[in-house]
Amino acid sequence: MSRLLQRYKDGDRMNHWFIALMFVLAALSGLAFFHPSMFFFANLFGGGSWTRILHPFLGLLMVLGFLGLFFRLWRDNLITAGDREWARHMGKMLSGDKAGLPPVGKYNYAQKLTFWVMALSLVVLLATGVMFWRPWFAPYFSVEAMRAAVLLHSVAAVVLILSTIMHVYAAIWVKGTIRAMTRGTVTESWAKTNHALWHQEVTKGR
Amino acid sequence: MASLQSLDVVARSATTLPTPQVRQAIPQVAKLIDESKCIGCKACQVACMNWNDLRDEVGETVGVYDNPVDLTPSSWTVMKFYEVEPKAGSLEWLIRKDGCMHCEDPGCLKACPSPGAIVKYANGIVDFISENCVGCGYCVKGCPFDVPRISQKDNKAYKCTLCSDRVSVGLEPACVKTCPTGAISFGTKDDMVSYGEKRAGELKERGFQNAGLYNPEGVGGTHVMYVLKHADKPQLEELPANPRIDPMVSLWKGLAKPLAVAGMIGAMVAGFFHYMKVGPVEDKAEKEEA
Amino acid sequence: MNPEGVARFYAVAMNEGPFPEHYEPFETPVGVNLMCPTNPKAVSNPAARVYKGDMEAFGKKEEFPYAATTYRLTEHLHFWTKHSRSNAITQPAPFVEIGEELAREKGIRQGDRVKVKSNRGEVIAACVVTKRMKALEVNGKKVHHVGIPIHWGFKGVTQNGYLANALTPFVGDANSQTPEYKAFLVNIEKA
Repeated sequence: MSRLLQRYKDGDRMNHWFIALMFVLAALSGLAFFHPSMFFFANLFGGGSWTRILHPFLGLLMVLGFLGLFFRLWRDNLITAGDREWARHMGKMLSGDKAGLPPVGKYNYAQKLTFWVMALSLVVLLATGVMFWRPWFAPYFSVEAMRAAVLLHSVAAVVLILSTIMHVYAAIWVKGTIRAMTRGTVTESWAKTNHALWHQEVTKGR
Repeated sequence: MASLQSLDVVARSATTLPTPQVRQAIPQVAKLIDESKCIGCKACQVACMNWNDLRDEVGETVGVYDNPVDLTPSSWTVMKFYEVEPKAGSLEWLIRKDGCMHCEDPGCLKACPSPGAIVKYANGIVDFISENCVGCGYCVKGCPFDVPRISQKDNKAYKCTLCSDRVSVGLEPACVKTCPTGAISFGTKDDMVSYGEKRAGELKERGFQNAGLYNPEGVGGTHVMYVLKHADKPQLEELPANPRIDPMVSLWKGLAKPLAVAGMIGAMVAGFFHYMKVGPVEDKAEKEEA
Repeated sequence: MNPEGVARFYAVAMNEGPFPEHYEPFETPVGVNLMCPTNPKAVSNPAARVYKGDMEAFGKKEEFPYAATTYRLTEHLHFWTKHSRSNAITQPAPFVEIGEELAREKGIRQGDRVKVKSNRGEVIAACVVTKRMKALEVNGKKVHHVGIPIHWGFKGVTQNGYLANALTPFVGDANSQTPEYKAFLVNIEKA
């Protein structure tokens, strides 16, 4: 009989879903301007002008929300020697063969990479986004600086979207993961299968 | 006036498929500004203000003859005065009518993300269709000449329209009509190029050996051209010597887009097929219990 | 065509003459008439019309060393276009113009507010520093000049300013009574 272990507290979960919601809104509003085929996303926000007005605020809220989780989770996401060993077996793991994988703590290597890539993308998005945020900040920057900013902003946005696609897919692919964020708890067997070291830590003395 | 009839539009911002383009058998137009005849009287500024019903605030002077000092959302053309010495000891007061160059390959149009906010008509005029403008300012980043200006009042971009409304009914632009010395002329692009080159030749005979026509190739040529007394040094008058759309803008609006869209859709499709092939990861214990 | 049908050797019915002569303006930066430097009675036009109080109001070059002149700009017409918004936008505010050398001497930079004084009054305006005006060497001395466009006043849609005529001398031409508003002496300093 599998016990339920707590993986996330209520505050963490609300914080995560707030970020996720802001991400979806910021991504859709940003994509509207990224490619003409996606301009219709602007209708979700009340038209082109409203999309242009709202997008930076949504992005800013997303970054602020992320700061909340960042400062709580960054220590758990530091890369260890065990991670590098795990990385060597990643190819086999993706094709379903989990044999030979070293045991994993709270987060595995792929999750940690995702964390840092997302964090970096958000920093770039915020810094570059401010540089051409009209009408508030854009007047303080030269046209040349803004050209570099928009290019980097779109690259960072695409990187963030790709890592989010991976992040969501992984949650669907590994059964029993999604409830960690929707209910806060996971089954003991899920923990033993996917995060054995973390399972040991949290069940010590029980 | 919002726009000429849609069939006349040959290029449209943020539009991937060709616009209706059969009505192309019309001549390309161009405005030629002969700086050797310009006296800096600013009648063109006033005519533009009056035709387009624009009035800026009455400003202050910063100690130069340029007023306003730069283009604004309500001043679509301004005279710029340059006291330069192209040859040591020989002072020249160069006066240039600044404004949109109406490029054949407009950077503003390429950069604009809002479909139909910037159009190029079959006659070459590049126009802003303000009702579609979202106020993002990408046009500012695309323009090699730093022309579009965003209004603080309505957050929309504005620039010279080459009097598209007057041209569409067979009139010359307001500035052309007003110029008292005939420094500004208007006609077909071919006619203006040959007249401009003729004027440059006349200037050369009068001692301006480097006089020439400013019609930069880097943007495909422009529908507003200058006869410059020192065409070898356009930077004397703050004109870029070899203007082109910045490569960062070309990359951002070019290769980056299909690559990114393919990447994002590809990632989702790859995930779908991965799940179908490999199946989900199930807990060891639950599998055993089952 | 003269009534007698032939040209005249000298001017008739002119208040000065019979031959045209160079005269210095009543406020002269030179101090002597270079055409007849030893004749103090012929420095300025002896037939010009000057009222008694105005004669006393002329300034001397020791106190007002710079030659000033008034002129017009293309953007405005006399004093009435200061009420026209389109004109005002193209040339909004009063200014005076000086050459770069004089600006350097006085520590004036482009756009600074300056005070231009004559013996009769003063004008405060922005300063345009230009390469187009250079000092002239007259009688072995350097003479700077100050350009004072008219057009602004105390009412209008332009920025308000002093009337240029606060500075000008009251001298009527010997024949036409045209005032000598285009040649007088001033001093200039940062305001």
